[in-house]
Amino acid sequence: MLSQQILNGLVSGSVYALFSLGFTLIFGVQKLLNFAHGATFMAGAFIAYYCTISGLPFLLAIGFSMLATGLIAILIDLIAFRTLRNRGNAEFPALVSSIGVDLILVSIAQQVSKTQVLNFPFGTFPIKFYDLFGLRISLLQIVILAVVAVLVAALIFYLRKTTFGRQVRAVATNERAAALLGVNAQSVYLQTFFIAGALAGLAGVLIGLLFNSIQFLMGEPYMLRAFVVVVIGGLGSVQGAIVASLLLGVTQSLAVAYLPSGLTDAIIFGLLFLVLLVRPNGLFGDINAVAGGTRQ
Amino acid sequence: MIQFYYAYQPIIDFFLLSVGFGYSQQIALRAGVFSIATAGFAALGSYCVAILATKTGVPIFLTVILGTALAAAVGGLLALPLARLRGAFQAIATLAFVQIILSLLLYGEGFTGGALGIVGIPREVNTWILLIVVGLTMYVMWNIGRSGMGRVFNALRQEESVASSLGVNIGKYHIIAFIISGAVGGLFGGLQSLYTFQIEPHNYGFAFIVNVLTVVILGGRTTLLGPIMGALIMAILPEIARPLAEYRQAVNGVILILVITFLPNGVGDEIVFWFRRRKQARQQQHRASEKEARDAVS
Amino acid sequence: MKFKTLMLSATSAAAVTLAGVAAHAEDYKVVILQSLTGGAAFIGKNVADGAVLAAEELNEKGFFGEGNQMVFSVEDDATDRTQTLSLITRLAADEDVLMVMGPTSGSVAMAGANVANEREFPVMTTTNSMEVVENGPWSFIMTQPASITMPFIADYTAETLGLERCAIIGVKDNEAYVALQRMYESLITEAGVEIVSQDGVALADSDFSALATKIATSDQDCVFIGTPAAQGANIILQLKQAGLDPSTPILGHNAFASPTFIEKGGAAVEDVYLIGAWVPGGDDDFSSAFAESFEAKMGFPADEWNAMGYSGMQVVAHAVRDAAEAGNLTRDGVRQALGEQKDIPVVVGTHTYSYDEERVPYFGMKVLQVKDGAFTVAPE
Repeated sequence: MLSQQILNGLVSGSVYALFSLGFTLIFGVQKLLNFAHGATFMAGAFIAYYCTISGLPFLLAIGFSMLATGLIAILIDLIAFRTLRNRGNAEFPALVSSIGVDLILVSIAQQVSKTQVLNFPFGTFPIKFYDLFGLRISLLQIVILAVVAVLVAALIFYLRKTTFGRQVRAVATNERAAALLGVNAQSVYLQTFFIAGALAGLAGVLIGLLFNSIQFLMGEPYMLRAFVVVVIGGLGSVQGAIVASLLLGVTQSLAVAYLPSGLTDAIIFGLLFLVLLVRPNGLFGDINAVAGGTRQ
Repeated sequence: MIQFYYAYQPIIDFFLLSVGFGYSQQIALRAGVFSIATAGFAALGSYCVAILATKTGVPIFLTVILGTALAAAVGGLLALPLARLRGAFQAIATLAFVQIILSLLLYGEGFTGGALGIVGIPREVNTWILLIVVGLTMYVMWNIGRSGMGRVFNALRQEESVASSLGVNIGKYHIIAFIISGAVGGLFGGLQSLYTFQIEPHNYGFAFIVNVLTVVILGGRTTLLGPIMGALIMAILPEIARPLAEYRQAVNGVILILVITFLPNGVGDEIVFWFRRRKQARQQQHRASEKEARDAVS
Repeated sequence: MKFKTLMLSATSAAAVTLAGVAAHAEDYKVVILQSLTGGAAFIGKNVADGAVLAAEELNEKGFFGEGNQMVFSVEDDATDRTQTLSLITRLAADEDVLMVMGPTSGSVAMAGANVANEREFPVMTTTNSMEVVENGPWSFIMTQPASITMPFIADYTAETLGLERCAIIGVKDNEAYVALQRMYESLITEAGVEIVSQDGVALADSDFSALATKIATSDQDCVFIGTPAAQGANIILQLKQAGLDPSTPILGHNAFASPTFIEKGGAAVEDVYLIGAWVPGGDDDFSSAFAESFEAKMGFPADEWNAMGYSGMQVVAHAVRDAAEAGNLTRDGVRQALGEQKDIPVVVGTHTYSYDEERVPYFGMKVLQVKDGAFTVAPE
């Protein structure tokens, strides 16, 4: 059972990674907490659901949903962040306005779904199980692990090796210096928001599919998890977020399996507190973010 | 007037409670701490009062004082680790604090009643008591604002590095701000449980955090009038916008975005600032006309 | 909103025509105050829909006597305690309103009960919490407390099925579900069933992979799941996917008695046992007629809460008529009449609804089982 639980944890953790990457990317580049990231994730699941039931092939529905959540994230930047950012000292105001966006998106989803729990129709994805060294693993779990691995690798490649990636890192380190070197910061912001939104949307679809449940409040627990991930991994650190997500997934699985039920949340957030105390910059340091997180 | 009070009494009472929570949230923001811990303080205060009032013979008056003291003490303790953090990390840490409190309230079933919460709390609080406590809180806040401490808070909020270069012990003032925030949050949490008969962890969740934030952001983060204006608008809004009831959360969201973007000081603060500016302008005008008069004579 | 104005205009149009006919026509004003939106909307909205249909039918067939009618309106508290308090306070100030059918459940119902007793204004809350009854003589409950419903499924577990070792999964963050789960646990423990594990999930959870693996790899001969319908169906799906022995009986309480349960669970929820007050489609003349007219009006089949709302309104209507006939058409008269209702024909449970001396409602329950994707009465 232990190894089975670790597998469960790794699958959940890999989706946390997908979700947290966008969140930490936005923080790395802008030093702003995007509280509407959870709602973007939820929107991804909703859009793919309504596309699927209106007859769109599932893969197309996923693609459309990622595109749409990417655009939603750009909209979030334009509506909630841009004016504040230009005024400077936006850390707290941006948190507030992104909470505002979160409320709007969640409220719309609540109306659209009439507060019902939705799920992808049976047969959207074939349910098959394999026996792997005594582990019970589903086709969906394998696909999710593979998709997340490929996307994470692609994102790291994008950030490290391409011109765009270098611009992103330049803006993250020092926006003014980057601007002097001819980097268009606004376009970098739009790109990071788009990527973050699309990844969150995909995470929403995968979670909705994996756990047969799509509902307007689904973003909230993942948003709270993302806070844990980015604090443990180091706000703004891509590698840290991945390791921390997997760690969180496994910890959670094991906590459910072996510890008194109901204490999981207290343990996880207690852990977060502890890490903040001992290593305010996260266990894995922070690669792009400026220590302490104040905007330069 | 009596008729009006009779029909709208609960709204008036909830307005007074949210003004109280607003001051708890405001004092932290005022000192430049990005805290959203008020929900946690309120939960501590209300559970302390509810447990003591239903399970022990402690006089009601004393339970409120104990609840206030407990939340203040926890606030002070919380400030110690928070002092090492900045900005976004403070927000995350205080959110984690609220989550820990909530999950312990759910878990400690024997003591806190778990999800069932605590029922049968005597209703000892009415509009007049709330009015008096809000008045006293305002008086305390007013004194803090006028004192040196208020000026230090303002300096911390505006530019921490400047404050520290002037030799201000930032940590100490953050701890003081948190103790006050905890005390006020705990106090009104306690009053709330003596008003609503029953409490459950759910009452202090995300919705509470958002409501308190909205009150202070909408009203204003520095003046006494801020939370009053914020709470007033939030109390009246659902009444005049009944057709929008289903979209109340969305309306809340739109307000947050619009106010923080276009009226960053909040309605209450803007009103106070406008009066201050007018007063200043008048004084200047006065001085100018006096000068003119003197010039004319000489 | 649209719905509400429609209702009002329909009734007022009727009032105008009736006024010409009968000079002494009386209007009995009742307000259906439920949580049409917000967290409890899945109960409140459905109860209101059922109650409105009942009130319309009763008016149409002249239940209240020549020219008399019930004038009703529907109000929404958005599952928000503040709004409940202010709405009931305001309704209490309107002397024409005889009583409120509502508010819905949880803290909203409790808050409603408090104001109602303070203002001496009868309310019939949808909840099953005895605390509402104990709060004072003016607050009633519409659904049966756990002490009445849960023995049906607990007895079925211990006696009919003869199970011995049960795993329990409950909701940890909703008081109504916790209360039902506790009741079930104490009843089966008394009957000699061992509880091998207890787990709590949050209402917003959907990742049950760890929990499902844990239970699928443990040893028990029964799994009891006390969650809302959609979540329960999902837990069962994940349990089966994690490899739970398909022959292990799975049981739940009345929350599962909703079309959602079968729709979300599909083949996975086949054979699950549950209790319900409502057998979908109806199980006697009255309930079948209700099922038919409800679907004709709304366009979708009635669920448990629709049937409860319809039944509750029958009881309210009888109470109002009794008070009127006794010549005591006051709030106090309606309150007394409501508490004395006995054997009112309803569409739920064993088809009659009564309040006992302690004002505890009784209308019975049925143990149901999912067979071929539909609820059927479980084998005795």
